[in-house]
Amino acid sequence: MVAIPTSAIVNGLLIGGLYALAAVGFSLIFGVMDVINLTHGVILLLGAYVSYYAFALFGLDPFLSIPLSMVVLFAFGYAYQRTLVQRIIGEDPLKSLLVTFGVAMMVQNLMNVFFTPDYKSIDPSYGGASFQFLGVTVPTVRAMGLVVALVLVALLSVLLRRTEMGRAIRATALDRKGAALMGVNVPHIFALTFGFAAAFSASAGSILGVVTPFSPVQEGTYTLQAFVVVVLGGVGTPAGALVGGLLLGIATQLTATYWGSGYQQVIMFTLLVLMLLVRPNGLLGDVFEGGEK
Amino acid sequence: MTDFDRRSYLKLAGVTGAAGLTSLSGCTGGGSNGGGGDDTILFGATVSLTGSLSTNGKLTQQGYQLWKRHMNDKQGGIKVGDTTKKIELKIYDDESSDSTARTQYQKLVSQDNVDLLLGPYSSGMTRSVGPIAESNKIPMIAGGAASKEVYTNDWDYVYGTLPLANTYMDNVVKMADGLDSPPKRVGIIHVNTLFPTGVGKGAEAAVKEAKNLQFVFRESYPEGTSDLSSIINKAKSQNIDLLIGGTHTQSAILAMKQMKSLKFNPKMVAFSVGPPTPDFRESLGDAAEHVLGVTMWLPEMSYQGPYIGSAAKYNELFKEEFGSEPDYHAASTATDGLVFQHAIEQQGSAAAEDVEKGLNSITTDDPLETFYGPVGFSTGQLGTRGANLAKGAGVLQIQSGKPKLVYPGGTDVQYPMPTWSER
Repeated sequence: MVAIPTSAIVNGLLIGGLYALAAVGFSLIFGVMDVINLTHGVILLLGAYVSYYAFALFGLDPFLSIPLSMVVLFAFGYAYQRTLVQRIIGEDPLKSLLVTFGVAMMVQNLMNVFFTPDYKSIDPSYGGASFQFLGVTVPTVRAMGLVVALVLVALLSVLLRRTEMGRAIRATALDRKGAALMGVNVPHIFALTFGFAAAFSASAGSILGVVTPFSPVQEGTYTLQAFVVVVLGGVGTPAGALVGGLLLGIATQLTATYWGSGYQQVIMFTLLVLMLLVRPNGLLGDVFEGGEK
Repeated sequence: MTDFDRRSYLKLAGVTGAAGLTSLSGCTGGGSNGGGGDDTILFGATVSLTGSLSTNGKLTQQGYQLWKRHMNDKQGGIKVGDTTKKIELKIYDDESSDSTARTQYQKLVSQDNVDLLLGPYSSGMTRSVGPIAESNKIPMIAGGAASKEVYTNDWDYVYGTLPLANTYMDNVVKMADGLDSPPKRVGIIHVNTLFPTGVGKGAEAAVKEAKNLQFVFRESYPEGTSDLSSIINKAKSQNIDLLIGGTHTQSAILAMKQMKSLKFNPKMVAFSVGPPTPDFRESLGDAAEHVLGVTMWLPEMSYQGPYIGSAAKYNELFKEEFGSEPDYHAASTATDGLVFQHAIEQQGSAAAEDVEKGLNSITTDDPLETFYGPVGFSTGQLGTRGANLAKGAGVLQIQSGKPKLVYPGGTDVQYPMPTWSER
């Protein structure tokens, strides 16, 4: 019986890494722009479809097509921010919810038309391979997914901390007027942030496409999952998303092991409600809290 | 932004996000003309032509349409005593929303003055429009409602042609029980929503009654989950031989993927929804082989009945009309029409109270044979008045990439499944 908690924790980390990568973009947009991006789920799914078609049409390995789906969705995110989202920044938060919700509905239905509502799955030749780790059978694709997720989350963290652009993004998040006075092109920085966020969501989509079947109807589930991760971990930083994602992964797996899988969502939303009551800014807090918006 | 603002913002967003899950969709009304004149019988229904249920909603509508066109062309409609009345349909798009469906059924009854009602698609939807049929005393036959909960209301005017969800796995269990070296230990997993839970509970009851099978566990999981590893590992550590799943297509695909990568090798696997769909086979390729599914209807089934003839004949008519193959949703709904037609011709009247009498004479003991299989309405046994208890589900197996009927009749089942390393 000792093996069961180990397997729950290993499986929790495997799925938690993906939760983290999937939520990091959502967290960034919320932290920097104060926009709850309800388009998050469709962006993630679009990333999955890019990898799906790259594999189905050209035989491109889904892990190699991650950069492709990131570039495509970066462009989508940048354009979407400049044309629509920029208009509602600094306005009533309800407007950002309505606009992004509307776009999500629209894109979901377009996906239904062009990609069909059928469930798709990317199935590379090594899709069923696995190896033993601490006595637990670990599916190779999930392990690869976790490694890529951790590398990408670390990369985003470096980008935000060490580069000129990252500094500009953080400065803008803390004080829009101040950043503008220092010569930062604020709308451009916002659009870049949105683009990067979309690119990271897309990369999570590419990996999810390999480990689980997907269909346009799931967009809401993915948005909600990202929301829970951010509330758990904290807003605006890759570290917050990582903590939230891994915690959620382990919590749901332990729940499944001890109480049964049927209770996973009960626990997930109980955690959400508790965090909102006790520590609404998440475990690591909001790095941009108190900034001049 | 202050702390207070951010907090209320998060709450608001949570609520909106949750609302997003229940996906609302646009509004378009559609349908054909009707008018319930002296020389026609007007049937009313809503189907989901848009929204999340639209795939099966369209099949539902096609079943109704095919019945209408075939009968109007073949014999001018329905014989009522000495005259023949044309079949007219009034169909609205309920946009996959039960509140819209309720409004539209109300309208069908009070403004369009329909003579009889056909059902919408899905158990939940049928359950929410049932009271309208009931309070107006107009019989409704549903072809898309398999949950027990639709029939436990003791409604007098609501009937269904699909077998109950609880009985979906009966033939799988019966077949497994009768094998030479049957799979002993049985594990049941299912999505925790209405229909799959019915499938899971029904399977548990059937396994407990079987002679050679041993029930080990039944466990549920949330809809749309992206990880079933804990439940698969549990089945693996409990040495499950037969895994039965009350699934939707998504979780059926996911379960097979994870069984393969976690090297779980049961002797037999059966899912309620998934295996017959192209998605399942395309997504899984070789991993879909040997998996069992259930179907209410296949063209190669040997059923025969009046008006249309054999199952194969229905398949041919459907392909001519719509250019695609019918699945069981499009067969059970055409059967709704046939059953009404039988009751009307037998009674010599299309008046609601007469038709109800006619329907009540089609019982489990004295079923009506159709191309889709026997229809016999429960008169209240098991607390399921109106449900079709005469028909069982057929078992199919994916063999060389195609779903083949294996029970009752059909080709031999391939058993046990080869292990993953043998494939």
